[in-house]
Amino acid sequence: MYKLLRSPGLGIKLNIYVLFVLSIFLVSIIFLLNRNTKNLTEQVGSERVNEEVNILENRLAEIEDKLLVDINFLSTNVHFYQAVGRRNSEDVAAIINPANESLKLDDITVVDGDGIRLIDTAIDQSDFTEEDKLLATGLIGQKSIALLIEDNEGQTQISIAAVAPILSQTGNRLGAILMRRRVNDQFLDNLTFGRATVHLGMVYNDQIIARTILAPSDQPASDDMLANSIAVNSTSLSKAQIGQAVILDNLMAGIDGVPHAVAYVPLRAGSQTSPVVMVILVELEEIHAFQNRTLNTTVFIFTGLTLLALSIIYLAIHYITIRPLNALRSTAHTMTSGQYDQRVPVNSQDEVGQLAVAFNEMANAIEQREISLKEARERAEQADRVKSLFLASVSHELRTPLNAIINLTKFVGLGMYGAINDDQKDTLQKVEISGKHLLSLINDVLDISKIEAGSLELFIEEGLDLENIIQPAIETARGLLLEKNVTIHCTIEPGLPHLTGDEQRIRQIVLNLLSNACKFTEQGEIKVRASCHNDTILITVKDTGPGIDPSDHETIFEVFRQARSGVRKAEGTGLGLPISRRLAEAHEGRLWVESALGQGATFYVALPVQSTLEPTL
Amino acid sequence: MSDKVFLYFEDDALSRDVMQTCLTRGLRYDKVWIFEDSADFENRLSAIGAKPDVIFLDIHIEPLDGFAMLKLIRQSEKYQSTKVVALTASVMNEEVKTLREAGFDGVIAKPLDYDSFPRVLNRILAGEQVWHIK
Repeated sequence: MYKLLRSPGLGIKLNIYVLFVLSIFLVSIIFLLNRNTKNLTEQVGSERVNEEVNILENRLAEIEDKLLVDINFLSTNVHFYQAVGRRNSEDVAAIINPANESLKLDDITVVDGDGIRLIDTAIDQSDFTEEDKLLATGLIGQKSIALLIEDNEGQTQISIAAVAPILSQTGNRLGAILMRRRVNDQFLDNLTFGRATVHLGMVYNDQIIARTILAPSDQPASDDMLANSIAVNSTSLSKAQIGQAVILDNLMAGIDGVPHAVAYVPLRAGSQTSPVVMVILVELEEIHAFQNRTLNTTVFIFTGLTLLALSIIYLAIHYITIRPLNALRSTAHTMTSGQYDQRVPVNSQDEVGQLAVAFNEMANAIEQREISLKEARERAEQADRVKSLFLASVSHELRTPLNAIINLTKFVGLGMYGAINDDQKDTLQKVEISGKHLLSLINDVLDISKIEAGSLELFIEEGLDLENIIQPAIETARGLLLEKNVTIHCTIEPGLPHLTGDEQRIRQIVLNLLSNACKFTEQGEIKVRASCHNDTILITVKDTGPGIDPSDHETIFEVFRQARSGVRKAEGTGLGLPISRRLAEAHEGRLWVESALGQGATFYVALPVQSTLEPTL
Repeated sequence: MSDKVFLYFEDDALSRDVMQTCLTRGLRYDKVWIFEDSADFENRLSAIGAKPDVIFLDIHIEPLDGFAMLKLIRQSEKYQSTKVVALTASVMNEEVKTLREAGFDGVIAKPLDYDSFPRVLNRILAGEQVWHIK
């Protein structure tokens, strides 16, 4: 997987880019969708909360009206005001209690003309200050509706209360009656008709006095939207406290992100304003659900389309690019391994197709070149074979007449065909020597040709005795010194190890060195020495000739070169030393010279006792 | 000097002269038969009567070349002790190897080296194989 990510294929790479671009699209779409629906939600929320404020205000007005109607109905009842006139608590209770069965008021209090309570149905009331104040206005004949804010056993209690005087038929003030509804949780529930999407809270002195069931006890305080709302909207709350209804512009996000529209409305009783504020939260569940549905659908469709697009792109890339590229790659591999007749199919005219065409053109060129190279190589090999054949043929053709020239001359010279005089004998010897010289030239040219062509083959034998190699060479060399005052001394260390190699060729090396020494030495001596040093056989040929300038020490081993100092004396092809050095090297040995002008020359041949040469047969 | 019997098959007239002179005048052998081609080889061989000690074969000869003649000689019980020596002007070592593998007893290079020839011939007659061509 890691490797895949590090060097992904073209298809994967492209898909990653496409995925990236589409992700940006998706994020943009979600952003735009959210922004647009937010505006819509705010608009809808504002309408909904306005509607709700109207409903609530109407409802409160209804409740107040009903209180006034009820209080009117009771206070004008004959039995009731007579009972009040009699100041008979029992009679009053007998009328009030059954009436409250159906009215379900939180409190009905009746006082006589002196303000003495005949009945008070609220048994949990502890502070009567506000109630008494309101009843006092009733006793002086005022009928009104008011908001009571009381401290009832440490708890602020807010009530909507109505008060009315109790009058006799003749208009005498017999007492006063007070009816109240407490603005508690249940009251607020009634106000909303128990709808779950509308939440109300009653705030006094920045405290929530009553509320619809909104913050279940098992949820953290931070989820209490009412408390959160009044905590952050103190300005709006203050405005509402001085009697100004405020509908908030911003929606409030509730639990699970459901937006809520919020309004702060002062609670009125009659024409009176009060510092009590009603907080209204309208849950915009439906629009939130719609928003979520839209979002989910968009994401779902977009994801689906993205996957589809990725698949299409992958397949397209695969067929348009990757498959032809793979074909190119495998064909290139095949060609690398030496099969030049491979071509890639051209399936299109696009860049990939053009690449395939170019590749095929290149393959054609390579194949052509390969064919030409092969032909050239074959021609060269053919030429080599022809050359070898030619050499073998030349060798054969030249040697056959030389056989007759050399030997027949010799036979006549030896008197085998009858007596000859000394002049004739001398002349015939010269012919014979010339014939042998010609033969050696032919041999040298053949040898160097074979060496240059790398076709020199040694006839390897084991157990070669140096004595047997060197002595015949010395015998031959002595023949070259007949007319000179030069002697050959030979020292072969006793007990030399036997050699592995081509006896003829090693003798040829020694003979070459010796004949050079003979050729260039006019007087003095030639010393031949064979010894062994550290598993190396060392053959030295030392003469008292003119010597060789150190600058010529390497040139003399080059083909067709002779040292300048020896040019005039040169009789050979100049091939003897190059051939000898190559022969020594073919034996894994070395051949070199140490000399200075006027000091004579010493040639060294070093041959390893242990070599990797294998016997030919 | 000796009753050794020599046979030589050679298509080059001068080479025949050289060998003839060498063996008869030089080395004083008198039982020397020399043929200019290899036609009717077996009959001519048996017509000699005497068992040859050494047969010299030119390799490039018609109609049978040296290798074919060697094969016929080796097939016959009669010539078990006869030495067969190739005479060749082709002196590449690889050819020597071929000759040796074919079953020759030795090889003598052309041009013939008269100075060393008697020694070489004696070694061959003594049963030694001679492969050094120069």
